[in-house]
Amino acid sequence: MNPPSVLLDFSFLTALANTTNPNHSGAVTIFSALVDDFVEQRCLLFARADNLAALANPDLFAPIDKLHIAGQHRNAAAELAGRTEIEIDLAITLVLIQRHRIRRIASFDDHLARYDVDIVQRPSAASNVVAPESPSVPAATALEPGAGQLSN
Amino acid sequence: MSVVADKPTLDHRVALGAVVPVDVWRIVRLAAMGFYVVIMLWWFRTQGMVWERISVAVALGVFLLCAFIGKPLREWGRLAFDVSFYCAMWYAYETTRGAADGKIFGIKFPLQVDSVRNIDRVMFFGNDPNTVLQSHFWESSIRWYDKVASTTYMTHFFLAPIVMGALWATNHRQFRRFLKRFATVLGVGCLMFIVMPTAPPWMAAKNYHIIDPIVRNSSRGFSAMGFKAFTHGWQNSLDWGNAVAAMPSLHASFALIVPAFFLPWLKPLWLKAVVLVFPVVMLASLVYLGEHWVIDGLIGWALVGGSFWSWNFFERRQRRNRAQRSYAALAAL
Repeated sequence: MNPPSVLLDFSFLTALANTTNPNHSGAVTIFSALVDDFVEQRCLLFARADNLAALANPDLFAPIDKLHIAGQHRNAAAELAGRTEIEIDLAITLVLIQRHRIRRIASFDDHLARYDVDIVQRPSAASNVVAPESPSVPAATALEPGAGQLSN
Repeated sequence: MSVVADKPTLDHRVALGAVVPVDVWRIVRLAAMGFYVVIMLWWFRTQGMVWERISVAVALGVFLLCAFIGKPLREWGRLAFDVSFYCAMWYAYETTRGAADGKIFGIKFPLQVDSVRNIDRVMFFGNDPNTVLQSHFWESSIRWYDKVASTTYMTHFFLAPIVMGALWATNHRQFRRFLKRFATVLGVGCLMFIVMPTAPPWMAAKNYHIIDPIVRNSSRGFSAMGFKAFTHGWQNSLDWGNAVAAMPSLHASFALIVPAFFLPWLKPLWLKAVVLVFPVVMLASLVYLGEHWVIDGLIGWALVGGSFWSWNFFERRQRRNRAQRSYAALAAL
């Protein structure tokens, strides 16, 4: 029932908030398209609450809802990190997106591309996937079949 | 680092479900909710339908306990806040209904009797819809349409709470959207009960004799199907109930608010039309059973329309404001 959810991970948030970051302009392009989609209820934006707190720019991240990390998420992440080589921080992100059924992520972290999630792309890099029914929607944020939804 | 993280081929991608530990509590919750549904069906059959406000609240509370087993503390806190609001909302409703006949605050506005009858007569070319329907269809024996009307009437007491419970348990964002619209309808309805106490048609016929006599027995079709209503002793707590709270018809409002809320997710046009038949059947039932004037139902529907329009407008403005804050911050970097 909810519009598809998109997680903005720490690499993306950092690139967005820091003008000296090499990915800043790409992040701004993607973020602007995502915010337009948010206004039109074509997507919901989420980020980890600890990531947002670390960057402390509430106005910039105003359209983004927080995903709070509970003890059970940390426990599951610790278990995941314990039996694989995944770092605990990435494990927490994986647990959160799995528990909240998010399948689209705006990220510059190559590690996430190993999993069955859709990495949000720059509009120019994915112009061939513009949804025909919404030609004005930037390709990076056009709704795609199978995009995850947040359950709560 | 590349701006675009290229998608690797599916052969190399790992399914999240294969690596992230299973949420065992989710399985427990689903099992508990399934068990709850079975118990409620059994209760419905043996003890009767839970319909009065406090029993419905208790039933909903037990369901939510099942739905929140093992959820993080923050979500329990949010649940506590929501439950408080839910209880306050119904308490305000019951209290102001009592106030409408001067029992609580000593406020008493003039009772509307003739005015609503006259509006209905204008709309129906001099006829009283209640008496016309009863004179054509009401018989001493119970017909199929009595069962339809009675069952439709009874859905008022449990349909909206069931929808709220389901949304509460599965989709908090949509629950909040629903509750805001619902509470607005209830709040405006309460205000109208106070400033415009209105006698229902059965009272207008029985006490004021301004229309032909009509029979009031809303539950006979429901009873005829072998169902009964469960009433606990604590129903005494609802003695504030106000008999002159005909305007607006919250039966009509609640019957519209549920299908109207889900309408955007129903894609086929015919399905939209089918679900919108329900509020029409509800209003026809209310008029046939002598519970409401037609204008009560129309005002009830208008309240729902106004609530949806207002909240849609406000939520859109909120989203725009959040976006504007973000763009301004981005420009200031």
